[in-house]
Amino acid sequence: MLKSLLNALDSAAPAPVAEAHCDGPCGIYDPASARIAAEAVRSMTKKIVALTPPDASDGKAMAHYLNSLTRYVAIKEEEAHKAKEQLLVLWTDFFKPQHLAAHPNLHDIFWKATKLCSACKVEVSPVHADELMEAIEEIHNIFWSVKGRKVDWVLAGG
Amino acid sequence: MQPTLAPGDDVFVAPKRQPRVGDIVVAGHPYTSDVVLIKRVSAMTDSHVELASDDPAEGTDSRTFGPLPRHHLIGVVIARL
Repeated sequence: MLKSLLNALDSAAPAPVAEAHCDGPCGIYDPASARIAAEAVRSMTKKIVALTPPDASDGKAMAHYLNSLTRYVAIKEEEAHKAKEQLLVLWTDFFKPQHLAAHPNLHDIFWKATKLCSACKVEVSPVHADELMEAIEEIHNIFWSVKGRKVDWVLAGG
Repeated sequence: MQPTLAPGDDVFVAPKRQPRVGDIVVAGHPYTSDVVLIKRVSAMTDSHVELASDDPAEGTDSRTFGPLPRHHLIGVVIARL
């Protein structure tokens, strides 16, 4: 009786909501930042693989080659680390035990995704760069399903 | 605030009651004006209250945002429906 009266009151004039999980100060999370970094990793990996060393006697061409190779490697290293950081923030700050109940493989997905970031740093592997993107797409789908929104998986690099 | 409160629980709040250490209170978030917190008072001074989570592994509380000025308090939880 009391419960139904209170429910009727709550329907007529809903009570304010109080939060116990208030991940301030900004509360803004989005797997897009990890996805952008991983896209850069994949792009740099492809560019490194596509580079052809010039004839060693051509000093000018060799300097150009070494400069490009160094830049690609440096960016790959930096972006792979950035992707890992962004994934760790999502994993440890955004996701809560109730999300794990709905997605029991969550820890495994994040563990594999962050290991792939490390593999992409150590290696020049288009296969692992693709697998990293696939892992982040899976995290994107879980993240937005938890948020109750439909957000398309869109790539900056096409 | 698990295990004391579960998501979706309804509570009665007494806005004029003076909180004591150990009470569950409702308070305005120190940085996000449209967020209302529900936490347990862990310590008090004349000007501030420290708020704690019953589930410290998950909750965000005074360990993160520090003691809260008392004017942020909205009321004391007196019953769960």
